[in-house]
Amino acid sequence: MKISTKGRYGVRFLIDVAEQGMDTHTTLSEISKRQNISSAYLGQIAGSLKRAGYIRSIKGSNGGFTLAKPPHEIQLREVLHSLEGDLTIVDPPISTEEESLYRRAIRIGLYQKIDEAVAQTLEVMTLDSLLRHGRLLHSVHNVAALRSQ
Amino acid sequence: MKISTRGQYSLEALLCLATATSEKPYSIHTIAEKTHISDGYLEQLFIPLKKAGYVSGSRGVQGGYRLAKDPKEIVAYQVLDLMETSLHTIPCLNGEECTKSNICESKVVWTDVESSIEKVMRSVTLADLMETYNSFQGDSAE
Repeated sequence: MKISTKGRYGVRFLIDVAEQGMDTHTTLSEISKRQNISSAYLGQIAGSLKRAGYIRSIKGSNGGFTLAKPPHEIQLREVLHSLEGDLTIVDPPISTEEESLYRRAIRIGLYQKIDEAVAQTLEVMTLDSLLRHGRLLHSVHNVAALRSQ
Repeated sequence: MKISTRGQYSLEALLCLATATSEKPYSIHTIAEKTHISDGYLEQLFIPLKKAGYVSGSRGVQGGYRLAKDPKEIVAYQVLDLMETSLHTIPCLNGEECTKSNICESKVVWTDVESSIEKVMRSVTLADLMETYNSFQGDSAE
C-alpha cells in the first residue's frame, strides 16, 4: 500500500513553490536543488501540476514557476487525485469479472469505509494548512537547535 | 495506495470459512469454487493464516480447513498486517531514514492518511463482515 513518488514529490513541489511567495518565480533547477529530486523528474511532475491548473510558468531570464491560485484554494485531495489517479484502497471491480459475495461484503464493510475516511482526512487539508504546519515545525526545530547550542 | 490481491484474498478466504454452512471442514476445492480464487493461491495463503492461528486444517486432497478463532477476535488490521508486505504509504513511515524528517511539511499528509486507514482497519472484525455478507441473503441467490 503505497503513495507513488509522483504524488509525494508533487506535494513537495507545490510546498516549495508556495514558500517562495506568490510573486516570485522559481526555476526547476532551484527546486531540484532544494528538494534533492532530479530536475528531469520534477519537469514531468511540473507538467502534470500545470495541466491541472495549480502552477503556471513564465519563460525568460526571470522565469520559472509560481502558484496559479492561492494556497488555501489548493485542496490536497484534488492534488493527489490529479497526480495519483483514483485514491481507492483497492482497484474497482472489473465489470466482466463476477464478484463473489464475500468480496462484495468486504468491499462494502471495509474498503468503502477506508475510502471515505481517507477522503475526509484529505478534504480538510489545503496547501495553506501544510504551509502553516511547516512554519510551526521549523520554529520548533529552530528553538530546539538554539537550546542545544 | 492499495491493498494487494494477497491481502484481499486472505480476507475473502477467511470470510468464506466464517460463513461455512456445513459441519465438515471446507476442502480447498470448495473454497476455490466459492471464492473464485485458485486452489494453488489458497494453499499458499493458508500457510501463514494457519501459522497465525486463524485457520486450522490440512493441505492436500483429503484436507480441509475451518476457522480456528472467534470471528469477533479476527480484526481486519491484524490479517492485513500479517499478509501485506507493508501497510505504510511512504518509505519514511516504514522506517527508512530521511534527513528532512524533522522539518518535513508534507509528512503530516501521509501520517494522517495512514492513521485514518489504520483506524478503520482496526475497527472492522470478521464478525462485522459476516453481518454484511448475511445481509445479502435474500437479495440474490448464489
